[in-house]
Amino acid sequence: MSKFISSRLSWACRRGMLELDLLLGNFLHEAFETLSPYDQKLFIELLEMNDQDLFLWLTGKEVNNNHYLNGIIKKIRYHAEHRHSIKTF
Amino acid sequence: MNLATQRFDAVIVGGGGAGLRASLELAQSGLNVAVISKVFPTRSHTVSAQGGINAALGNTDGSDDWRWHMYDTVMGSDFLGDQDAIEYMCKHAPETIYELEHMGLPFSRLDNGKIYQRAFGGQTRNFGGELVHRTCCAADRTGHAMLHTLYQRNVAARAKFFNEWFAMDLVKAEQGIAGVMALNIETGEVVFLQARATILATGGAGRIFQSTTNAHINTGDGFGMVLRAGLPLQDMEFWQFHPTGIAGAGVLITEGSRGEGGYLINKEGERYMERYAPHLKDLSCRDVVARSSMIEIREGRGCGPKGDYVLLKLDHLGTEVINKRLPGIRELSITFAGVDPLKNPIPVVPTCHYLMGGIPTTVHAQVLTVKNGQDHIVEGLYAAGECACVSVHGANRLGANSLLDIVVFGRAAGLHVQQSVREGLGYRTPSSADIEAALSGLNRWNNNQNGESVDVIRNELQKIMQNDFGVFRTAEHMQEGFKKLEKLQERLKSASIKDKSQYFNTSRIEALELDNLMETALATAYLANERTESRGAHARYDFPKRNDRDWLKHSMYFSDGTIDFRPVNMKPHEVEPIKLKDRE
Repeated sequence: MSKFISSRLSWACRRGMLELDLLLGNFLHEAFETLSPYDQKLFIELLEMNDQDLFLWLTGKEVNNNHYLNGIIKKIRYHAEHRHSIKTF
Repeated sequence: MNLATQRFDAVIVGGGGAGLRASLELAQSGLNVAVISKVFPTRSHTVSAQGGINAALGNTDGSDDWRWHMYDTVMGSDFLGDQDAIEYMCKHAPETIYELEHMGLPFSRLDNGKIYQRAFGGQTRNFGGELVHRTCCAADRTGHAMLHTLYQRNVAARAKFFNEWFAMDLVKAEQGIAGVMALNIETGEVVFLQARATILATGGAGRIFQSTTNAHINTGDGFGMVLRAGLPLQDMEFWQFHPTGIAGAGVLITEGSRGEGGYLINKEGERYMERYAPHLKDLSCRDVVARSSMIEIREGRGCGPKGDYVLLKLDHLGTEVINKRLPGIRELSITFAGVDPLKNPIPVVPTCHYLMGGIPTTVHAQVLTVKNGQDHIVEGLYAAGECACVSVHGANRLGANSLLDIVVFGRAAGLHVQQSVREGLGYRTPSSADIEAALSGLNRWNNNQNGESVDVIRNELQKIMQNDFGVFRTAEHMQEGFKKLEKLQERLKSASIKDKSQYFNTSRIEALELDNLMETALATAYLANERTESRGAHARYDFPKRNDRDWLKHSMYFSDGTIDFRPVNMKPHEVEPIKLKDRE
């Protein structure tokens, strides 16, 4: 991924809600490069959605199994739940 | 020097609710308006305000009165709010709501078709009587609905948007402010946007703290700009904190979790609130719980490898209670902490939410400075929204008054600029030294080599603010904090970025944001140390009482370290002043 594209995407992950900053930003930096080109394209399309919808989808408050972005949403949610690998208490 | 210049009647910095409401007022009146926003406007932090917006419409209860709303707001402010400004806000609230309704904001409605209103903390009938339903909402997405409605209207009114542009500094002139120096994030192009009026609507700055609910964009850009222009900030010691945000994330865990029987423990597993508040324990008020947690962390009883959080234990409540009574908590905790609260306690820490202080303004959103104890209006400069301190929130903000603040005073700014332009407000011309000054921050980051990184300095800044100037404030600890801050300020001067490219250089934007965070943090530190009393959200462990004799006044900070004061306005125009009362 070129620096220009990666900067552009990381700026597009800056949102009006902290939850989205974290979910989208972490996914971009930790998982985006491992995605298939098709899923990368879906992620970029997802970033065009509005904050309120993203918030409901990415926190699982609203699920639409038929939506074409549902697959990438599931991947972001799965990543968020499993990225905290080391627990120290 | 050859600098691109564009001229507008008004330039608005910030595309959240306040900025968009101001620009709409101006664009609809036919003025030539530009809005600069570092992110796409509908991605502004206004979208996070889900609760609603107060106005004494009386739709649910049959009757309400803006004077009762005013009374509640003054009491909530712990008397630091300016009564003329609160009067203006509460009185104009109903018409402001109806305007939004006519613009198409989809408010939730009652069966009779009127706008639905819900109850929210601190809202009473008849000057402190029974609870009243005063909060209008658009389901649970009021901020989102407001932002989209205003944005659409602005596009229709032909406001010009500079999206993904960053305002670096105000450009001064001999008299007042000439405009802003702006950077196109995509191309790296620098343009001087000259304006008859510049309106700052840059929002809050919660990112100065390690833990905050604020989005990453909330870096206090307007505060840095104002301070570097030699103007003051007011009441910067007043930040609202929540006791339980998820450590390392900032996402809130509802206070209901303690209401349902959850409790906090330290690294020894001790339920420490029993020690601080034997009677109420974990159900003590927010301030007490947050401060106790911070003391545990400071004294080395925090949890985790760095000892920088405490734990909220819920697993003893059982699956059924957690799932039924605390819906969503389990998902939040798994997603943002990687912890399943059915099995393990959640790492939490006191978390900053909202700033009551900011850029001092009149009720018409004109920016003020003080000279020899007198207020002076800064020609051509306005501020509205969370970045402004008009002051309607005083020492503490009531729920659902922040969305009201941004639309009422965004509108007021628009109305006043319109009138001023009609009366002949012209352009001011900066000298070449003024232009140089507005470019100096950018030039420093472009030129500095081999210094420390932005990430390192920002992390340290946030840690110092969290530990020494957060919810636990004593002279002794703040002195330690000052020493650390001063050293860090020096280090920032020689910090550098590796990437010097022009196109979409986000690390350079983050560097410029860090300058603003540092300025905001210093203002907070100075004024938190100066105010030797406890009032509203400012709690001094060493001065636990409110002291009206010495401290019923606004505090002002200038970036050279000068501190000054302004009286609190206790002279509303249409009603009797609300008299001082002890907190209950």
